[in-house]
Amino acid sequence: MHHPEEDVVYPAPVFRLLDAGLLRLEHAAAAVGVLGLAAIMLLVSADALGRYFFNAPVQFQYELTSHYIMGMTSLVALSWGVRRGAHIRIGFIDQVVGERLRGILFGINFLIAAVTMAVICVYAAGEAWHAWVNADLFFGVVDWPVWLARIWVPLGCGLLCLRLVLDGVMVLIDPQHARVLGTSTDPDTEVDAV
Amino acid sequence: ARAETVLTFADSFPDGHYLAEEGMKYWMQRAEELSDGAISWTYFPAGQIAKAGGILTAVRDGRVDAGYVGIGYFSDKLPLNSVSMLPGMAPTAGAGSPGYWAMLKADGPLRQEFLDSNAVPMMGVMLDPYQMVMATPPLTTPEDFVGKKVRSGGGAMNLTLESLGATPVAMPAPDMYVAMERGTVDGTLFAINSVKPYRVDELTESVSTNGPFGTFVITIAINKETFEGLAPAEQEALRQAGEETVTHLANYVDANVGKRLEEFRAQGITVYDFPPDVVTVLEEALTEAEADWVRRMSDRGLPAAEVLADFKRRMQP
Amino acid sequence: MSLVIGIGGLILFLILGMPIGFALATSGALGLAAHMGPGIVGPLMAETFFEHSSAYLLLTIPMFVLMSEYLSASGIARDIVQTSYRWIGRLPGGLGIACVAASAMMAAVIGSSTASAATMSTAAFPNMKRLQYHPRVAAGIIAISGTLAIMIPPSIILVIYGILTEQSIGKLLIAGIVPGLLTMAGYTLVIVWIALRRPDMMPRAPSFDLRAAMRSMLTVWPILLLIVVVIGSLYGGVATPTEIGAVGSLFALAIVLALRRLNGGTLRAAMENTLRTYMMIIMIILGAMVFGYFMTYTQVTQDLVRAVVEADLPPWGILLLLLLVYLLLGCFLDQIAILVLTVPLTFPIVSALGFDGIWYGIIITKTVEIGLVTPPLGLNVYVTSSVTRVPLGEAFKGVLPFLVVELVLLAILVTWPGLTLWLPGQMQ
Ligand code: NA
Ligand code: NA
Repeated sequence: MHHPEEDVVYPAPVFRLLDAGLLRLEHAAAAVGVLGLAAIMLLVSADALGRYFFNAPVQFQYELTSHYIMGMTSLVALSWGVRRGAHIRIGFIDQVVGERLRGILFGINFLIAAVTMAVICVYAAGEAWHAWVNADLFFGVVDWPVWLARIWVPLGCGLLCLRLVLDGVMVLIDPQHARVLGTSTDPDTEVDAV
Repeated sequence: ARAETVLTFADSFPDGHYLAEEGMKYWMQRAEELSDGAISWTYFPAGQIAKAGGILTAVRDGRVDAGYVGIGYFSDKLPLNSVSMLPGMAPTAGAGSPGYWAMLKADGPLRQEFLDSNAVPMMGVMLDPYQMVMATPPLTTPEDFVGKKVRSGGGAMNLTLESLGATPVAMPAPDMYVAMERGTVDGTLFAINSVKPYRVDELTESVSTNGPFGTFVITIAINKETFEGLAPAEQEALRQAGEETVTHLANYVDANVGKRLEEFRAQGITVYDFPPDVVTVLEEALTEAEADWVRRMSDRGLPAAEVLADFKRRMQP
Repeated sequence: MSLVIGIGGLILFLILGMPIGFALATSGALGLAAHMGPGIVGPLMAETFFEHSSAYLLLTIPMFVLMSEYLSASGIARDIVQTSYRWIGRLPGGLGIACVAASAMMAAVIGSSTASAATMSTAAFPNMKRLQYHPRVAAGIIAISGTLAIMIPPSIILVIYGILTEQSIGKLLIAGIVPGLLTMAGYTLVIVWIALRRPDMMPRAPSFDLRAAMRSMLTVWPILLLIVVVIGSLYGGVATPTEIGAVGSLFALAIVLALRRLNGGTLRAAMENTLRTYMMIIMIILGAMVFGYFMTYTQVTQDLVRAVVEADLPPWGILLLLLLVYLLLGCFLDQIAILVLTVPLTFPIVSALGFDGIWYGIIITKTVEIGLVTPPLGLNVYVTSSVTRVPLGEAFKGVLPFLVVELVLLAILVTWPGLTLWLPGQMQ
């Protein structure tokens, strides 16, 4: 399938290289996210249908989903989403300022957001590390390792932070790329579906 | 006197919930009175600061000074404290709470788990044991349990349900009402005192009174630095308030169970005791649940057997 | 001061075009740092992201989006729109009315407005656009119709209100039905009015052809089957309100696979589109949570409500002032956050003033529901805009005429409590 956002060609070779590397990680993350969606659909359905028709719910489903799969699916592909233009913003400013200023604002916004994500990543990584070192477990249907639940916040936000820094810096260097990166609210972009 | 110390407090109970009124607010108010007004509170009820499962971390980080810590939410951070939730430990709040609280106050593994989270436990109460709250007629023979779908909090509760052939079901609390209404589950394991707050009584046909299904256990914890930074008199006021709250809340819980059961009868709900043959099966199951708990905790290198023995010694008959 | 930093920061970031999720998290963090000191901000955000991203109840959102993606990718969604166009496309605003009706049907299985708006954006928007509906109008209809999910049972918000106030959840859910249907009628009126005034924005079908209409019915049986199975599963007790989205998307997948209307490529596209939509929604939800905690710590919400209930006013004055505050809060806070922050303060007062608890639940639910479509924080409009790629400002403009009818409906429900209380009064 064709994704207009992925056609963005980054100006300097070093950015192209960085983007390609990051994009590989993001595609892997998206694959994990898609697997998560499929797993939720199948496990929750199997639990409900098994419970109703065979009196045999999937006992571990509730804990597996709420400890791991939900968090993983919610966070792992945040960066991939941004690369696909999956962010909503108020477009008012675009009509007021010129292309150059628009690009600068776009870049600054991304860099500020990157700081927020970096803070979250650092503290969440500390929690995950702590759980790993202490070998913390949730006591449930089985013993569930806590670090595996905690790892998705630093992974997702860390990857997102890298993406925001890369795109932010790139747009500051070459403001006209803001137009391409900001396509998500362009009314003339066809929706992928159908 | 004018308040010199304003502390923040967080819980996750809805407005007017008896655990907020007779537990959390009671403790805060006694602390205020005992300190002659030196301590006062900013209160964040109903999960405003964090969900029930996040309050201990909020206390640890100092995002809130003190708060409600439900043992069941912290199997990762307070694993040995879950000994208090094992089935069959105490038939009433009054029988269990003083022993648990004594253990939590003493230097020992239970207190240490709180300290490791940078929190000092201020009170601990074991609530009334869970009972079978069912949208079906009473379960009076072991066969009645077979195939019944019952919402459960997991862990040891699942083992006791399965021992009689019932099917434990896990689901979030907000789904429970609709699930019981539509027959997704036949009922739930629930403390008698929690039935009304969740409005489950509207759907209930029968309630057991003597099932040993485990207990929910609530504590209050305060941030360690906050506590150590208080004047000795203020610390003493909080401590004393904790002692009083344990007694007050345990008495309230037990008295209220009786009152609730009366109301249920008046509503036409059947209130009943399990017959001896059912109790026998349940008691066998809870021995197994204890063994499972000890084995899994010991696998983590925790002194589970010692804690269990100490805990059972402290329970009143 | 921290209030100025937090709210001012949010407005500034939004105006400067920062993506909304980032703007909420960042301004919330700055406000918290000003209010509580910078030390707690990192741990708070990390825990907020952890706790709220892994909430089990959240799974309804991606699952309903997934269901509608399967219907879209397979072309079934297009068939439905085509069929309703053939039947009522001749009426002024016919397709828009069909969209409202479809949303009401979705509302019978979805308990979350956000999930509903995302679902309809995916399923209906591309086809409304194909049939020359103005994107602004189409997005407005979809965003506002999503709010029906709160009123028509099942409803997450009404269950939370019931737990917070110990009101009968069963009665609350039943009480939502009549206001929900009235709301639907109100939206329909607005659509007809717009269609009559601006026929260019909602073109009508050239003619009504009974044979073609009958023939088009043949294409809708898969969706009818899906609806029967999903509603049947929910009301028959097969699945809980949280689980039903997953079961629904599995059935939808089974149907489109059985009809051979999905191949490997379109299946993958449907999954990726779902993930993309979910990433947008979750980022905003997590940001809104951080911002909500900031508002909680400042106590501004609680103080405001306290000032109202302590004002020296007659009962009706207090009630109206409260509703005004709720409308205002809806501009800045998420629905659940509003209930959790305010209901513990307002409910005891309102009951003491002699108002009915069930009725009050419906009234404030209706009021916070309006907040879902008011700027700057209007989650339904955000979601609709992001999925349909209609610019946010346009989408808010599209919702505007419906806001007027929402206020009228609110006034009607306040004036005649019997409209709300009659149906639950028939129970037992
Ligand atoms: Na609904
Ligand atoms: Na709003």
